[in-house]
Amino acid sequence: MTANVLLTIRNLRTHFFTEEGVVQALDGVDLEVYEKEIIGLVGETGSGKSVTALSVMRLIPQPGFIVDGEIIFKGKPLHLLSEEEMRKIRGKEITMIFQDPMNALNPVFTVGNQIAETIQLHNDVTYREAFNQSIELLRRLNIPKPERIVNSYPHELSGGMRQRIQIAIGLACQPALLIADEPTTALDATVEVQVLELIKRLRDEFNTSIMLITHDLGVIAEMCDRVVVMYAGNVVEKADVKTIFKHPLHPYTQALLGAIPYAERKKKSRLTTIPGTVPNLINPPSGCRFHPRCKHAMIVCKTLKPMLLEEEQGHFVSCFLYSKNKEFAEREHGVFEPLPGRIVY
Amino acid sequence: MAEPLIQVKNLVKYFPIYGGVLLKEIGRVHAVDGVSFEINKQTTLGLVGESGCGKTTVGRCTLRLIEPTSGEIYYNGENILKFKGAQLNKFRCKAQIVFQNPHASLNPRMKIKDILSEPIRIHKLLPKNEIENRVLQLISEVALEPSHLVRYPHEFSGGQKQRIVIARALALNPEFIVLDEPTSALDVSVQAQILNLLMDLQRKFKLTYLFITHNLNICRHISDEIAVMYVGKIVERAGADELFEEPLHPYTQALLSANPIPDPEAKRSKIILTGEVPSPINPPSGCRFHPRCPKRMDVCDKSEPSYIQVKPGHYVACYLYSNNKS
Repeated sequence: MTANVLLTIRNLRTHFFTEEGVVQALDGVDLEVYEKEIIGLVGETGSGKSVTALSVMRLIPQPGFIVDGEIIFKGKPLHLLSEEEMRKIRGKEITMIFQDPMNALNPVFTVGNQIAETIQLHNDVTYREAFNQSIELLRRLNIPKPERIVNSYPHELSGGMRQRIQIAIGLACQPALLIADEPTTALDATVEVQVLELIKRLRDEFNTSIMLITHDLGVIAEMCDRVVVMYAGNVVEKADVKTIFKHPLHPYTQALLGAIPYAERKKKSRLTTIPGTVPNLINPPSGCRFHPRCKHAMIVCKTLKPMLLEEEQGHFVSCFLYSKNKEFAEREHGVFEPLPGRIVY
Repeated sequence: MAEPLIQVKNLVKYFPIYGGVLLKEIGRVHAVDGVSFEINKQTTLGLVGESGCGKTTVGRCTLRLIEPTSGEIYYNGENILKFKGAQLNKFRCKAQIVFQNPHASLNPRMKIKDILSEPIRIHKLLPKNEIENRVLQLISEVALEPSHLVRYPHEFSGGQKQRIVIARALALNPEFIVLDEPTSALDVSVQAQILNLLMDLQRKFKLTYLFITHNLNICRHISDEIAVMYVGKIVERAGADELFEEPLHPYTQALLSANPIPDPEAKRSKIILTGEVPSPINPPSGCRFHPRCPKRMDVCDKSEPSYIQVKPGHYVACYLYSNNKS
């Protein structure tokens, strides 16, 4: 595959300096987004999926800061840009759609007004032209009766329609990257498919790369080309979608896949569980952040943090069970004690 | 032969809407509009549907937490809508509920031991000196530590709180528990813990569940039978495997095909419905699914299809399967 890299994130650390302490929300995230691909970010609450997206947009809420790492988008270092330069990229080159469309739309402006605003901000057109472009855009997205929809206010529309409007605003300037943060979590099942099908079509029609953030592995399997599995602010595994589901390497990914009930699995069988809960990131576990819940935990997991290394072609994993990380541990520690007993909790 | 613990016949619940200057009744939400089902002892009935279809209202009506507009609900052959006083109190011991949001289900000012002993004290189930033992037993049933008893709810995570809510529901030795989306507020790994726990408790205490959810995968996993609701009506009911392998109603077929399968190589043929769920204030005429139905016929918007048994244990309300198409 010789696809071009659109976005590269290297060793990204975003911390929140709260009164209770420093929340290490992202602890060295590495990922890249290629052109015209749908990449899925999956993980539980607090794994850092949304913070990764907000870091790329440079929209991290107070008191959060990017403390280390780099974000390179089309050769431009986003983490170094001034707020003014960043504003030219936001909404034009990179756009984001949020989980709850009601909070993302302005209740006192019509939908057409809001789409036109985005178009006018980044293009030299009159309001009338921008407004007509927004009708055209809605038509391209197969939204019924676009002439009527543009004149309605968000509260007059259903949840699914509001989410489509958000997508339309996101696409108004034909961005290179669309970040969708749980776009269908608030929607009903039959409406969810409609919106997912729409997002899938965008890639072909608008040549947009899509970063899809979700906790639903079903959505990941249906939509994505590649998957990034996150846990407690780290990328634990990264591979194409078939590899992740057929041949997961990291114990967390394996457990996560075992924990979802689904139709083909034998009814009333026991699900694999992961003991404990997602750790507190003010005081995260040492070494590998998953080790207190991991059934393969070794001594080395507690002392040394594994790196995200390419174990097989295109399949990255951050775990000492695999050869590349064992070599890394040997280099760091001198000698890698082969499984010096298990940690029992 | 399995005998039903709960039998619901033609349950109807309308919520009035008041408006205008004099606050007169100007409309009604047809939340539940003629629903019938039964749940056999020690089995689980899964109730699935999209938001606003009335599944929570059904759950609350079967416990008489809200009074139905009309219909009959039998518990062990007795109509609970006629229960009064002591008899109703006794029923309240036998039927419990677990809500969706564990954070809102626990009083933040009470310690866990007080939360768990409160139902026992109210119903005077045990003498005072035995309550503590019972509370210790309950906390171990849901795999928490006795040291947790002296803590307050805010010290627990969502999954732990849901365990406490389940322990409280078990305090009175119930036979029937309504589980209203018990895992939707939880993460995947914690959700699996709670589902396993619920299945273990069902076996151990011979419980009967009404499991309300919008997640089809969870529903199939835990249920023996599944009923699918759409805008206040049950459109189809069958055994869990049969419903998944051979869905009859076009809505069930669409709902199943919309269900994301966590397997990138699975074969998919999506039925994508147009439009959205109609409002229960002014539901469509005839079959309520007809405006979105891909297999709509002339008769569908004129009269309502009856809910008939097409195969043993498989009920459906659709003109495609009824013989009297008049």
